[in-house]
Amino acid sequence: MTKLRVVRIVIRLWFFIAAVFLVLGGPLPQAMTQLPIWIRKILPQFSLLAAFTETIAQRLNPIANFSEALAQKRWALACYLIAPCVIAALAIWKGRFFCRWVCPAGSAFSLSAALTKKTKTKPWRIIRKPVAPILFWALIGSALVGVTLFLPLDPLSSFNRIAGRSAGWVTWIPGAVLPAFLLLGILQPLAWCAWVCPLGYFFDLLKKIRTQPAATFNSQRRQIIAGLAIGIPVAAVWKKFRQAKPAKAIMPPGSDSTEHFSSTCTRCYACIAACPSGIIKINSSATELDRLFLPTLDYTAGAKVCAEFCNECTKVCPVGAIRTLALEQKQQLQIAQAKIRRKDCIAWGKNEVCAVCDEYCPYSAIHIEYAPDDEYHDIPLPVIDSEKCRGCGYCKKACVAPVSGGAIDMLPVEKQKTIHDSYQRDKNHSSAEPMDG
Amino acid sequence: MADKSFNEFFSRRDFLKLSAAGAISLALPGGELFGAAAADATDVWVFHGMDNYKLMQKAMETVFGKKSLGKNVALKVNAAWERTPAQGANTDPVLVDAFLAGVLAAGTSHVVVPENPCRPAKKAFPMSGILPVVEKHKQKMIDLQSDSKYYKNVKLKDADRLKQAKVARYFMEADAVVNMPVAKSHGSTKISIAMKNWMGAVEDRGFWHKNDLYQCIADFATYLKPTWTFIDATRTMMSKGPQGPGPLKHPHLLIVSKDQVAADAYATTLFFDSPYSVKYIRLAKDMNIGQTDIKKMNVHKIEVA
Repeated sequence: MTKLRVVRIVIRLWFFIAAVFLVLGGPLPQAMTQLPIWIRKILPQFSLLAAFTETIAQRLNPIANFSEALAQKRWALACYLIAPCVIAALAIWKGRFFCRWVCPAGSAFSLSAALTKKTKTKPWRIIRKPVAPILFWALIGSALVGVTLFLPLDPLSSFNRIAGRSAGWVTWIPGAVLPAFLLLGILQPLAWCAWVCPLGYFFDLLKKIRTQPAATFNSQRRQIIAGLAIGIPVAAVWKKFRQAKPAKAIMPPGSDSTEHFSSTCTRCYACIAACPSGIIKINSSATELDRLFLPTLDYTAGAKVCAEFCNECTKVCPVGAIRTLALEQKQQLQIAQAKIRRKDCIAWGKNEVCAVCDEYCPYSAIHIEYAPDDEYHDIPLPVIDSEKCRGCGYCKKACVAPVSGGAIDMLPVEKQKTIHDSYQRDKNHSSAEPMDG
Repeated sequence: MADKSFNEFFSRRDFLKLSAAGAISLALPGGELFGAAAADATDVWVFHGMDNYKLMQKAMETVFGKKSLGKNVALKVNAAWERTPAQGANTDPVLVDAFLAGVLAAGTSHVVVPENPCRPAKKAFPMSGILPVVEKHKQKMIDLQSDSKYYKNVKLKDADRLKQAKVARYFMEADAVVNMPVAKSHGSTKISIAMKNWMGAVEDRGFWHKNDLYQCIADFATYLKPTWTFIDATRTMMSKGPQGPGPLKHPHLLIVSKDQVAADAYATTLFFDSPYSVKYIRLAKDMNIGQTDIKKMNVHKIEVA
């Protein structure tokens, strides 16, 4: 074994263990909570493919973003913008350097390939043609339309979602992409890396463009055309299909709208891992193709809330599908609308005193009306002010109406909007805020 | 049951001595001063002052004298919400600080502060400012939500709707129980002060909401009668309660009584003309739980410099 090889194995192992620790919590789950929250996005953030295609799809201006991050002294964000540049430079210079030294998925495939070699079985060839170029160019094509349709196949995003699952077996599928290829890798060593990985192909491409620019595009012409011919129309049809439907799911704060979120989310599930309330779940409704496996808010299971003093999910999205929001911004954002089903409500339906929803509303978005003919105005009737309701779900959680799930429904909104009221009157409040990051 | 005889720690003689010392105006009727809880002359002390620490010191000096409340004291504050002290949703930590310093100096060895908060205790207790104060005095604050073993099932024999409840056992085991609520507005009950504060001492407050909340509040007051009630009316949230943030007034008052109903009724006048605007106070009157008529109270107004 050469010295370089030993060094490489040590470094790869180190990166691999670190990645497993980040995704699964490692042997010390408590230690995970001590780390800063943005550590949750570090793995998918390292994908040059995600950075590149999301920049195209969301029409981002990286230079403007970078200077804005510096101006706001958000060093962590600035560093993240540097990372793809460094990785791109490495790829131009050294090709698949990242795959061989850093990529934890690559390390996992190398490990399984090493196993195959030892058993001396004749490697199978299940995948016989390179899928990666078509996948890559289809992704570029869809990004041009504004949708990163195949980005969930990014290896780092796939690695990050291994631990992600919610209720129902369907939600295990996205996390099983990488393990499935790992199993395939035993039969056909490095099948993923060599034939499928769009990120690896991107690295190769970058190096080839430097060394022999003209020949690269000539030799890849067929794949480029095929990829774009698949990506652009599929994404365009997908987008039309998406627009034709009303919002049916509630998205994490900062994701703007179902359209934006489902178009740009890579399903890395960093937001799910970061959410302290556990309200973000993998959407398992197979009938909703456009938001299949998308992280959505589920208020019903275990009566969860989108907590008032929390903006954790907005800090961890590696691709900007969820915008970074300051706590004050998040507190002013309407992500859903609560609605009282009056026939089931204790106050409206049974004419008895309750109004527990008003008590628990952190934003004073519920006001009390009284029946006009009542001498003492004893039965308070809660009314939700839709102009103030943020859709946090505290009222739904508090509701004690004796029907399953209470008498309050959380309804999705077409577009998340900022509410302009000064609900936090006292300015001392934010200075004493422990979670303000 | 913590509702011990008043004489055990505060005799009439001590009281008169103290009065003679000039702490209290002597406009007290002579007769049965501290007889039955709801006798004609229920004492309510109203302290006014800008310094909350001194306010509590003066109040304790006035009503306790040098007597101790007993070895073990259970203190019910309001620390239910993720709100800062200045927002008036929780009891002022400065009052709690002065209270703990006072009782511990007077011979109490343990003060326990149990609370069943409406928001996660991990956030609400520190943010209310009460947890740091309790820890400063090396006493314990209990998050009642963390374990159902903290509760004991009790029967409420005088109750109308709330026939039984799981109540935090600390309030039964202590030598003295002190209720230290904050006076604030409340969406469903109009105000939340002393009687309403006990919703944070039971396990299932949802039952109250489902079974005539007003009646349940009055019912519980027939059972748990604290030794003392100290109402924090240093600032009062006038609407958008119980959580707010809502508009504040600053009456700078501390209202003290042995009769929680009387204290409640008096504090209600900070919000409404008549205490009977609040239904559970009307019910308390009908059920004869305590004094609700302000004209029949001995109100001692004391200015704290």
